Amino acid sequence: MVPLIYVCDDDSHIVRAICMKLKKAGLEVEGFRDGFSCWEKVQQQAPDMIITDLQMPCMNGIELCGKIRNFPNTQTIPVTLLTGKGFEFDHDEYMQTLKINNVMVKPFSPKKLLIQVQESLNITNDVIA
Amino acid sequence: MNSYGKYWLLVLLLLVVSCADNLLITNQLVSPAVAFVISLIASLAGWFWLVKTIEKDRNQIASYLRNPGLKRPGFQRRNFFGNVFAEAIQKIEDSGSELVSTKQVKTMLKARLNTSLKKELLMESVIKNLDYGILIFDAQHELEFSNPAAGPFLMDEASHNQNYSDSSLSLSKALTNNSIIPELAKLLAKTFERRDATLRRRAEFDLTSNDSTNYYRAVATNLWDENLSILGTMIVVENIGEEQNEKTKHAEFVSSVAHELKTPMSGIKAYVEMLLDGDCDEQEAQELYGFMNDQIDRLTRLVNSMLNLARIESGVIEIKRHDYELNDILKTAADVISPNAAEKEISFITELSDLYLPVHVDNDMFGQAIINLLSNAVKYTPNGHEVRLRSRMEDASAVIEIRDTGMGIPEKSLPHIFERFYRVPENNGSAAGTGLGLALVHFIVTNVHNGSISIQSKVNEGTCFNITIPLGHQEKKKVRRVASPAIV
Repeated sequence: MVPLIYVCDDDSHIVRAICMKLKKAGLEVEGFRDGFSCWEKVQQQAPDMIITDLQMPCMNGIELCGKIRNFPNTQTIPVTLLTGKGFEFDHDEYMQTLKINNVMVKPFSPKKLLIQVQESLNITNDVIA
Repeated sequence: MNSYGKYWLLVLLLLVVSCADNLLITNQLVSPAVAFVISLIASLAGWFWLVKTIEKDRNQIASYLRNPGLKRPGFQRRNFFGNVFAEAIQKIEDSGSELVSTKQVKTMLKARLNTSLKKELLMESVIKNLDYGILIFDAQHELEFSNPAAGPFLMDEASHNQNYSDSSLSLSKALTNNSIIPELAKLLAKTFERRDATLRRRAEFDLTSNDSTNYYRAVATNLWDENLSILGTMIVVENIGEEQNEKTKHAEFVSSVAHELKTPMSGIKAYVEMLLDGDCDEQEAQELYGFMNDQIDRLTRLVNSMLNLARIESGVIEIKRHDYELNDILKTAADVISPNAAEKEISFITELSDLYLPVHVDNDMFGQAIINLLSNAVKYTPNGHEVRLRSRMEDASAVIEIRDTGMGIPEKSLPHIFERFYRVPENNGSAAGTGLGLALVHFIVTNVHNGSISIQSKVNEGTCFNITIPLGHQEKKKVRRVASPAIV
C-alpha cells in the first residue's frame, strides 16, 4: 500500500515543490495551506506521515502537532517540522515534548527531505517501486 | 597751642609767682604771710585749670568711646594723657576690629553651613528620586545607605537564609550579608575580592514579582581614599526593561526579516534542486522557471520595501516638507492607482473637498502613503466592487478617507495591522505583499507629519482608513485658490 503524506505550509510554492518531489518518489501526497484544514483532514483520514511548516495561519505547526499527539488514533504519526526560524527556535524542546521526529530548517533540500521521509516510514525506493 | 604748651605755661606761671614771692619777700614789700597767700592762690588757680583741662579731655575720650562714629580726638598733641589714651584707644579699636571680623567669619560660616545643608538636602532629594537603585557598603560589606529605588534589592534575614541554604555559595563574606538579594551579594563579593583586576564590575539579572519580570543591570564600584585604602563599595542598579524590550523587538525584527527572506528562497532552492536532479519534464520545468521568477520578484519587493522603510525611519532620506494643497496630492495618487482599479473593473471614486485644504507635507512621502493605501484597497477588493477616496476639513485638521468594499480584516488582526511584516492570515493568499506597506504608511503619517491614522473594518463588508493631519501652511507665501471637485 502506498504511504499517504500530508504536506502543510502557507506558502504554495513550498507545498507544490514537496508534493512534486514526493509524488515522483511514488508516494501519495496531499497539500494544505494552514494547520486547521490539515487537522480536519487528519481526523477524517489519518496519514502515514505529516510534514508541516511552523508558522501558519489559523493553526501553526506546534498547535497542529499538539493536537495530533493528544488524539489516540494519530499520536504515533511521524511528523517533520519545517521552519524558517534559526537559533531562536528550540528544536530539542519540541522534539521531546511533542515527539517531533525531524526538524528541517528552510531553505531545505527536497532530496534530503525525501530521505528523511523514507527513513521515518522505514521504506526504500525499491519498496515504493 | 599744643597740649604740652598748656602745662608748661602752668609751670612757668607757678615759677613766676614763686620768683615774685621771693622778690617781694626779699625787698620786704610784703610780709611772708601775704607772699604765701599769693603763692597759694596762684597754685590753686593753676591746679584748678589743670584739673579742668584733664576733665575736658576725659569727657572727650569718653564721648569717643561711647560713640566711635565721632571724630577721633588728637590725644597725642592736645592731651596730657594723650599717649596712654591713644594706646588704650588703639587696643580697644583693634579688639573691635577683631570682634567685627569674628562676627563676619561667624556669618560666613553660618552661610556656608546653610549652603551645605541645602546642597545636602538637594543631593538627598536627588538620590531619593533617582530611578537608579543606589546601595553603599562599608569596607566590612555592611549596608551603609540605600535609596528608595533600591527597595526591590533588599531582603529580610528569613528570605536570605532560605536563599542561601546552599553552603556551596561561599564566595566571600558578602554572601553572608543578610540585607541584599543574592545577585547583588555575588556582585559585591566579586568586586571586592577581585579589586586588583578591575575597579568596577557589572551584572545583569531579572526579578519576578506579581507575575511580571523586570530586568536590571548592576554596576559595582570600589571606593578608595587618598591613601588607596578601600572605603567600601557602591552598587548602582538600573532598570533595563526598555532596553531589553528594544533588544527583543530588534531580535524579532531580524527573525521576521530572516523568515520573510527564507520563504521565497526555500521555494527557489527546492525548484532548482528538482530541475538539477531532472525530476520534471519539459512542461513542468517551464512552470518551475515561472514560479522561480515570481519568487525572485517577491524577494526584490521585500528588499526594496525594507530599504525604503529603513531609509525613512533612520532619516537617511531627507524630509522636505512644503506647503501644498492636499487635493492636488490626492489627485496625483488617484491617477497612479486608476489603471489598476480599471483592470479589476473596480469603481474608483474620488470625492475631494470643495474647500482649499492647505497642508505642510513632504509631497513624495505623503503621496507614497496614499498610494500604498489605495493600492491595498484595490488589491484586497474583489472585481466589480468599489474603492472611494475622500477628503474633508474637520476642525483644524484635514481628513483623508480611503474606503473599500473588499474582503475586510478580522477584528483580531486590527491591533497588529501596522506592525512590520504583519499580514492578515485570512487574506494572505489573496495578493502579493511584504507586510511592510502599512508600517511605512503609519510611520509617514504619525512620525513625519504629526498626524494620526485609524482603521475600521468588517469581514466581507470592507475596510476604511482615516488619516488626519494638521491643516495649514507654514511658509510665508500665500497661494489661494479653490479646488474643484473631481470624480474619477
